[in-house]
Amino acid sequence: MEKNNYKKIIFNLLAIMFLVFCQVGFLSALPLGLSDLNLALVSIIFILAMTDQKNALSFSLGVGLLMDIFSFQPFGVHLLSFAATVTVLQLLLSRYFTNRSFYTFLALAFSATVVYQAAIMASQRFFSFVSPVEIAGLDRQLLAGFGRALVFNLLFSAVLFYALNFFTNRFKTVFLSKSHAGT
Amino acid sequence: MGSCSGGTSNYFLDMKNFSLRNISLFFAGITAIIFLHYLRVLSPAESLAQRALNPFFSVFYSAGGKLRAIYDRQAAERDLLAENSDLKKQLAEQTIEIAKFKTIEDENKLLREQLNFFKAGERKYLMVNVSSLVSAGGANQSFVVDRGSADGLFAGLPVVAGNGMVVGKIVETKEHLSEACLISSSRCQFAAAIANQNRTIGLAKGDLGLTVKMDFIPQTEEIKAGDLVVTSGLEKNVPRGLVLGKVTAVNRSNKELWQTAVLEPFIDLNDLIFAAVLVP
Repeated sequence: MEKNNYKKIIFNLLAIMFLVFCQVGFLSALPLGLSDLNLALVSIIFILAMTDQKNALSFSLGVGLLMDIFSFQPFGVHLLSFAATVTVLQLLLSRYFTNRSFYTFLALAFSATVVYQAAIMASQRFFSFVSPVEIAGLDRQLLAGFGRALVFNLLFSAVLFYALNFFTNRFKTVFLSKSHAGT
Repeated sequence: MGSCSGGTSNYFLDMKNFSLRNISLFFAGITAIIFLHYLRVLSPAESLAQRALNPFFSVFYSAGGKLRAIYDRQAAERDLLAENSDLKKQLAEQTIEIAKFKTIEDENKLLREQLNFFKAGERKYLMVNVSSLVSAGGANQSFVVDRGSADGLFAGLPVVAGNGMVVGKIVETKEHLSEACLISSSRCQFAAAIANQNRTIGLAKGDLGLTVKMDFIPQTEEIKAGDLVVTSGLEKNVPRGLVLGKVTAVNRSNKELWQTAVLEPFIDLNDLIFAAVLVP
């Protein structure tokens, strides 16, 4: 394996650990419902859009595995939920989205939040047969938390989109300008 | 720009990026990992990861806690907050003193041989670092600490904050991690007693992650706002006299068999960086 590949793997591992520390340690302590922001999920959306499916799946595997090790949900809930979300997002990207505009990212963040939440609930119920755990019903509290997660994920996606625009031109090639169209 | 645009379109339009084979292999890999976990083959690696990474979680949690503390401080008038904080500290100290006094007084009357049971120095405890908070529906429901079954912890042990107030109870353990429900969580319940003349007993249970409700109090008992509520000692591994909170409201209806009391727990999440688990 090339030296660059080792570097890439180490960088990815550190990034995965940093994401999980932020999500599980840092964000959980924040006020104003900020703990509902799914930093890991939004990051994976951007990794999928900026690089490729392989990278996004690697990140979802690493983040899911670490979160399963450190959470008291049945083991596998996060692994499966992240993997399912990345798969659905890739399907959406391949079939329905034709560019990487701001609105595409908002739509991806919205879809990812919905799919992830649904996957978490489904896998919790699936794994409750193996590892009995108290499962929250679809009540007002859960819906409120989901609403906050949607808002914060969309806001963070918007901020991240504009921030990345300063460093990369991957998101700028959306429409042909008139001058280019004429040439 | 034109060529870039074309590349982008191709990326999104062609289906090469969505490889069914890769996805199938990936899910097969995940399934294998999950199976290996439940067969306990991965236990040593998981245990190692927990031990090695626990300190990092504590550091990140501590940083988040500091931000929350800054937010909380700015949300109120600075002087008022300082005064309030001092008064709370004094109140907490005095509340513990009162609880100790009342408990020792009762014990003197009933069981002289247990006179020294409530001296703090005689209690065995294990100091733990809080690694993360777990919230559900916006309310904090539980927290994770960095000690587990390998350190002798098990479900049912009470967790107290630095000032001696009950903050929760261990509900689940892993080898080097434990989850504790917050006293205000609906998963948390304690056999409780009101520190009044009759030492009225009942069941204190968290309510929506905000307050604590004390239930199963006989209608004949006289309780009032301001009464102190402590653990009754009727529960295994939870000693008598640990402060749960104070009564803020009493719900009494002639149609009901029992009356209920609403308690205000003495939890300050900003102080919940370290805690102590009382061990038998």
